[in-house]
Amino acid sequence: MPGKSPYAGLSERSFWSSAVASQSATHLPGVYVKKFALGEGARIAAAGSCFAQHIVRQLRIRNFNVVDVEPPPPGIEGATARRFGYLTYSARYGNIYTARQLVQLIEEATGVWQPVDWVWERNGRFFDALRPSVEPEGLSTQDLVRAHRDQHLAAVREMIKSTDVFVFTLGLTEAWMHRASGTVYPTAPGTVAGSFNKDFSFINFSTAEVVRDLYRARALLQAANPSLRMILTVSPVPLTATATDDHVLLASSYSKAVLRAAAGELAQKADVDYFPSYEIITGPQARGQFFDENLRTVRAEGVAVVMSHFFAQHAELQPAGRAAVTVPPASVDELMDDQCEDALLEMFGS
Amino acid sequence: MRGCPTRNVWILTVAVIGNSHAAVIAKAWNEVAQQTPDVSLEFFAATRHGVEDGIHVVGSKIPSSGRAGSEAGLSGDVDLTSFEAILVAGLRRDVSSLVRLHRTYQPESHRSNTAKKKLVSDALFLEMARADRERSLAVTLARDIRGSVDVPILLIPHPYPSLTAVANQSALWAEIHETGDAARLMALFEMVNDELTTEFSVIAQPSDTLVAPLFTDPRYTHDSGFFRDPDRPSLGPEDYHMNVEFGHIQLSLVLERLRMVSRVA
Repeated sequence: MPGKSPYAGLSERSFWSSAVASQSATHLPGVYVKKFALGEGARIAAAGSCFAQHIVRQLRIRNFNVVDVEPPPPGIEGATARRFGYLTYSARYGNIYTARQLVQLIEEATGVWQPVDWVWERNGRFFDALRPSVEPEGLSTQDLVRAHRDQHLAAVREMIKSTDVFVFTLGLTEAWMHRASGTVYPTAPGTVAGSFNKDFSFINFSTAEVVRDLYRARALLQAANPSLRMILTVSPVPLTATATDDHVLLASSYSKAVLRAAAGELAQKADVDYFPSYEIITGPQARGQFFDENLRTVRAEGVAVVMSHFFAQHAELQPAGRAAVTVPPASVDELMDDQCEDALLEMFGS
Repeated sequence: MRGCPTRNVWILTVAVIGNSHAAVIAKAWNEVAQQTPDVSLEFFAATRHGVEDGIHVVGSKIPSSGRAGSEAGLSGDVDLTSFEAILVAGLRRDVSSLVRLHRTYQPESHRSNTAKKKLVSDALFLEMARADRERSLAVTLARDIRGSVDVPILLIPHPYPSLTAVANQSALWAEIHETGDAARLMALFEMVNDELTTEFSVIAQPSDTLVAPLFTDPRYTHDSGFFRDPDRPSLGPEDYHMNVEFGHIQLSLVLERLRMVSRVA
């Protein structure tokens, strides 16, 4: 007779057969168990890669207290608002794909760092290279870009101070960097604006680098707001393209593995939770059903399943009398297609 | 020409739906109606300020009863099927709301003081101007009318304020006048109005009635106070409502446009 095993007496969620294989892809009991209650009326700020837009949108649909320090001007709503970077996140910082970008934003907002070579030109118009999507037609002078960014950074400072929970969705490890200064951008030079040259280099962050960046971001946020807590999640959206020599499938796998490992390490801290968007969408139990035909875009049903697991654990945030809401599929697809700079890389494919 | 035959003369019957700014057109019309046998204007304009939000199309009518009637002060039901053309006059298609936005938001090409304003791109401010247009009662009502009856619809925005507004209402108007942003705002206002011309016939204010960009010659507000709502306390010097002389200018443009669009129809 076998001796006493440490696996004996574990709950069903500890065993693949009971927790995954025999469960519906749309309902995985115990896959997310909150580490801390957010508290009624908790002020939630969000940032991250494109997938984070879904999280923000779902929170807003349910009337949660989503911080928005840069709300759209009167009458600007829907697709027009999103085209100018409004209603997408808690401020108009656009997509933040890498942990390094997040660190840069917080460091810049808190005055401990300055980016270099961050105003890019295209056809006589000037773009904020650190958030190129928020002004699709750019601005007429470099000085205006700087002035707009100053106002944006003031808003980011306000956001940090007025947030209880910061939700960050990790998207990519691959990035383009200003070689001399280390400034990292959300897009490659030449994609939205600017032009690629020897001043820029490619970087593919390692697990250690991402972990270090996440710790740095946490420290900076909590220096400004000691009670702030974090929820990390990893985007399930694969890479559109890779700048490594690897096959894009391998590059995507590397990127997600690094981000997942880094998030897991941070989540060892009591004030950092991990929410498994990545596993719910990409796990074998999903059998790929949550991806669109391009095997990359997450379908609306997938987003709804992800968020149902989040809301089930954070029922205390659910405003009274509001039932779960399913996002119309078309709206989700529109978000994914329109607001992701990395999707623009498709046009460079053959 | 479409219209109703009366004594062998085709008469174009037109409903004029508007607010206090339509009153000058009505006043002018009363003076020339006898000499204009080919057109019949019937006015359903409210004279009150700020109460037009009760005007809605119900079926093919704009009822004067209930909320619409009491708040909008329509002079009677507007049976839209009885008219060959509709003129929507005023009804908050007004540059003032764009100027108010400009007090908070600073478009990139504008010159006013930026210290306390939110900076926006020209592209975004254009979208704000479009949204402001779409929110106006004139445009929403005109769209509702278009969905109800298939007749030409004319739009005539509020007149630009008199230059006296710069002194009398300085908080709103002085800055844009001094910095030159008035010209930029006027160009933007007219541009987004021009975008409506695929749906409606938009009658812009003649440039020779202006004494400066976005500001009407004060001669056209002289003695115009009687168009204001007698139930409301004095609003001070009249900067926004025009007189009958201006009404005749607008009326001539309206008649010219009516004859043109009715020929096309």
